[in-house]
Amino acid sequence: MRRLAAGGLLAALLGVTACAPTAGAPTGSAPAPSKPAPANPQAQAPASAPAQAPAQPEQEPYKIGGTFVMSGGQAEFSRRQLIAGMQMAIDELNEAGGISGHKLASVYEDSRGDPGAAVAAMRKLVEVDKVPVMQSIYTFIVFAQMPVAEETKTVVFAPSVEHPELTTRSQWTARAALNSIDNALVMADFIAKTLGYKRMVIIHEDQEGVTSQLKPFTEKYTQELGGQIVGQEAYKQGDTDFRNHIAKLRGLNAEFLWVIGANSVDKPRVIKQVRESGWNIAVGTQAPFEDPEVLAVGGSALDGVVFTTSTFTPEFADRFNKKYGYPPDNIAAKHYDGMMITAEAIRRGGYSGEGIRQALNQITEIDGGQGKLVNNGQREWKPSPVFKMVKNGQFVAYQP
Amino acid sequence: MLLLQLIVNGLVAGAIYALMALGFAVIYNATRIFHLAHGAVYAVGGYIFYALAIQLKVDPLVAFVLVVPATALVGAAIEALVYRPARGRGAGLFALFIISLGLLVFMQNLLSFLFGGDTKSVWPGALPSYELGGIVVTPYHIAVVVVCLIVFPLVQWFVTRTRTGKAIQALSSNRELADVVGVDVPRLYLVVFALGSGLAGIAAALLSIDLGVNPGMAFTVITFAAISVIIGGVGHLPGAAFGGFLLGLLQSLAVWFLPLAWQDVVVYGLLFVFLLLRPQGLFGQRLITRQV
Repeated sequence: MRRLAAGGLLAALLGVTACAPTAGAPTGSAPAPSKPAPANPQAQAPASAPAQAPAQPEQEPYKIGGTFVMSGGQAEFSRRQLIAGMQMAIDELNEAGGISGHKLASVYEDSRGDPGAAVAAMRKLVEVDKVPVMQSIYTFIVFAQMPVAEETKTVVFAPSVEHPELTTRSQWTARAALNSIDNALVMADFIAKTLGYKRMVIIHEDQEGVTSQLKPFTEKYTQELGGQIVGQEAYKQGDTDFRNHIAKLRGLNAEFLWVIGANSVDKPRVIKQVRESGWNIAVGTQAPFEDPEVLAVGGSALDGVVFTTSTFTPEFADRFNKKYGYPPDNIAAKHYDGMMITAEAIRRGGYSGEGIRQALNQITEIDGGQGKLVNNGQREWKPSPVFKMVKNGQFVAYQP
Repeated sequence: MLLLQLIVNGLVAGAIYALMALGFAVIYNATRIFHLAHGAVYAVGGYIFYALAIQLKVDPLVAFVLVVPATALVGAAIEALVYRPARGRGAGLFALFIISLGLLVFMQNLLSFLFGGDTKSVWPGALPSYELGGIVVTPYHIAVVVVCLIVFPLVQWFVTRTRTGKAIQALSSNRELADVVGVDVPRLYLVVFALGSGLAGIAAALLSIDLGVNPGMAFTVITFAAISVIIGGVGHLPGAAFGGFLLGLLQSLAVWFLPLAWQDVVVYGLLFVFLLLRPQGLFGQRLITRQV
C-alpha cells in the first residue's frame, strides 16, 4: 500500500512538472534560429566596460533563467507570448555569435502562478543552474522572489510587470514596460477626453499589479476630468463565470466598462458574457490582449473593444510571425526587449548578478522590439503607449 | 430584477455543481473512493465534446449524446485498469485517494499535451440572449434547465426502481452484506463508475458550450462537487444534488450584499460551518436513522 501511495504521489509530481509544449513551442534548447536582427543598444559605453572577447563557440553557455506559468490555463499564453519573445531574442543573439564567445542557453521553470512554487523554481535556477539573471512575470510572483534576488544577488528582469514599486522595492529588478500608473493615467484621459464618457464601471482582477492602478486612475478620472465611477467589482485569476459581476453593474447606467486583468484570457470571457447579457455598453481593456487566443475566446463579441497597449515595430512583428506562425502581443516584445537589454548588460558588466545589475543602470536607451526605449534611471525602459481596437476580428489601430 | 437575475445565475451554476456532485456521490457512496479523478473525466468529456462538435463537425446535439457513453467508458476504464488492480495489490482508501489525485494531474497534463494548454472555444463570441420579464437568459441557461429536468428524475428512477439501482443502494449501505446476498460487486463497481462519469460528461458538454474547454477546467468544479456532497450529506444522492444547487445559489446571492471577490469565501465558509456544526450534512442524519 505504501508503494502504491508513493507511486500515486510520484505520478502527481510528474504530472505537475510534465507540462509538455505543443507543436511550434519555443523551448529552452534554442530551436532553429530565424533571421538575426538583434536589438541595437545605443548607450554610451563607459570607459571601463569590458572589451568584447573574440568568438569562442566551445565555451560554456551563459544560462539565462525564466520562471513562467507553464501549467494550467495560462500555460499556453506563457508559451505563445512570454517564452516565445524571450526565446526569440536568445536565438537571434546566438545566431549573431552569442556574447563574448558564449552562446546563451535558456532554462525555464514552472512558477505555476503560485508565489511559493515560483520561489522554489527560482532557487532551483539560482542554486542548481547557477543563473545570475532570469525573467519572471506577475507582481505577486516577482514580489515573492525579491528576497531571494537580494539574498543571492540575482537580477530578476520582469519585462511586463507594471506595479509602480517594482524597481523601487528592490535594486535587483528591472522592466521594459510602462508602469500601471502610466497606463492608468493614459486610459483616464482616453476615456474622458477622446471617447467622452463621464460615467463608468470597472471589472478588475483582484491582484496587486492590477489594483495598484485603480487609485491613480480614479483620482485623475474623477477629480481632474470630472468623471464618475459608479461601480466596480473584482474577480480572481482563474474565474470563469462573470455573470453576477455583470448583473450587479448593469443597472448603474454607466456609459463605459473598463475590464482590467493581468492575463489575456479572462478579459475576452468577461466581455463575451457582457454581450450575452444584452448589455450594449462601450468596453475598454488593456494589454495583454492582442493574442489569437483572445479572439478565439471572445469572437465577434469583441468587435469595437478599445484597449491600451504599447507599440511594437513592424519588423519585430514580421520576424516573430515568420518564426512562430502567429502574430505577437506587445507582451512578447517586452520579454524580447528584456532579454536584449539583459544581453547588453552581460556584455558590459560580465556574467554575474552584480555585474549585470550595475551595467543595467548604464544602458540608457535601446532600439528593441517595442521601438526606442529609454531608461528612466531606475532600470525601467519605457515604450510609447498606443490605443488599438478590435474591428472585424482583427486588432487594428484605434479609429474613432 | 437584480435579485431574480442572481437567482437564475445561481441555479444554472448550481446545476453544473449538482450534476458533478451527483456523479461524485454515486461513485463515493458505493465504493468509498474519494474519486478526485472525476474532475479529469469531466475535462476529458469537455474535450471529447470539442473534438466531436468542432474538429469532426458532428452535429452538437449528437456530440452531446455521444459524450455521455464516452465518459462513462473512461470512468469504467479507470476502475478496471487503475483502481481494481490497485485494490488487488492491497491498496486502501488512502492509497486510492492519492492515486486518484495523481490521475487527475496526469490526465490534465495529457490533455494539455494532446490539445495544447489554451482555451478551445466551442462557441466563439457571445451566445444569443433572450430577455424574459427582465431576466436575461441564453441557450446555455435553457439547455442546463432542460437537461436537469430530464437527468435528475432519470437517475432517481434508475437508482430506486431498477434492479441494478437497488443493488447500488445495497452496496452503498453495506458492502459486506451486499456481497453475501450475491450482489456482483466488481460488476457493480464498473456500473457506478460508468454512471457517475456519464453525469460528469453531461456537465462537461454543457459547460463547454458556455466557457470552452481547457486542461485546467477540472479543479474548481471537482472541489465544489466534493463540497456539495459534504453539505448535502454523504451517502444521500438527492442531498448531493441539492448541495450543488444550494452552493450555486448562495454563491450567487452573496453578491447581493458582498463584493464579488468574496463569492468563494461564502462557499468555504459554508463548508466550515457544516463541518463544525453538522458534519453529516443536510440529509446525512436521515440516512443514518434509516440504516439503524
